[in-house]
Amino acid sequence: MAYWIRYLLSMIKIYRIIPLALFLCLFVLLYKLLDTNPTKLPSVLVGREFPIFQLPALKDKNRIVTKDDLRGDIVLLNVWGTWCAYCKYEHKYLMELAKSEDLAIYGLNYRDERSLATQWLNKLGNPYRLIIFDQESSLAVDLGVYGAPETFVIDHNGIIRMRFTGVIDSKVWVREFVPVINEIKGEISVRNDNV
Amino acid sequence: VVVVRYFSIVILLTNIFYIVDLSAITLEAGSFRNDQERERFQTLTEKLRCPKCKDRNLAESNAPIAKDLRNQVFIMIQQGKSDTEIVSFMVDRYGDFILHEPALSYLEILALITLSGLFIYFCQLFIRSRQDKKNNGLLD
Repeated sequence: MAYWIRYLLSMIKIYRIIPLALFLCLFVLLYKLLDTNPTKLPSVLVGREFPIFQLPALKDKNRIVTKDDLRGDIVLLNVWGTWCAYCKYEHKYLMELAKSEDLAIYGLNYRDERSLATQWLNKLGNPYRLIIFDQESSLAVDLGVYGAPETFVIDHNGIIRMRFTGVIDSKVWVREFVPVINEIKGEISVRNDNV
Repeated sequence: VVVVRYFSIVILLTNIFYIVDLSAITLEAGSFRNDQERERFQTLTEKLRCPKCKDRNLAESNAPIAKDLRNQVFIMIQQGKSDTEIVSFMVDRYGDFILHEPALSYLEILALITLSGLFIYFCQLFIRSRQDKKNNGLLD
């Protein structure tokens, strides 16, 4: 038996396999490059706990909002600003999402003016339960935000489960968000069963 | 001619604004306590990449995000944080990407190995084919 194996191995000469191996490497490389999106940055925050913060609310500057105020089993934190044109486009869909009972949508308004933001909400409607007002971008920097709109999904344990950069519409919602939200829902039902 | 003149004026104006902008970048962050801090700010903002505009560093970029991050660097220097603390603060939030020279990912290593392997292989083929030709020539 061992003899046969040794015989077979001697038949396959290593230098003959080299082109094949290189071709396989190239194949894997090109295949991997197919789904790298250069504009998409890997978020280091996914899987981590939501950062601690202390910032005023948009509507009432005396009210201090902290991490504990982001209540709800599935929290959606939408980062926006009135200077962001795409946010206006996204707003319609957020209004739509706000009707859903499962989601708690919060806003993070950053690098903005209080009066402009209030005007915006009066005109377009308010999909948010509460809006954090972050004029100095302190929470935005902690979240690694580099533009708006951005949306974070935070689960029942306060862990960031997903970060999405760009505009949410119904297609994006179904493709990107629904799987993650279903996963969290599954975990919640398991937790409730155990209790 | 009028159009040309108009354009030259526009270009001149944009240049002037650009220069003004550049000087604003160094000033906006406030005043440093000493030259050493200013130098640290300079090297750190040159080392860190702007997350929005990928081919620029924080010192060069006019993007609002670069401004925010420069501010952050400035504050952290004022707080007495070390350079490594500041860099790891940024990497913690923005990922390896924020460094101008990120650590090699496995994909890049694979690319390096594959491409150099292919290069060597084809070189060898080329040399061998030339040698074969020579040998054939001798035989003829």
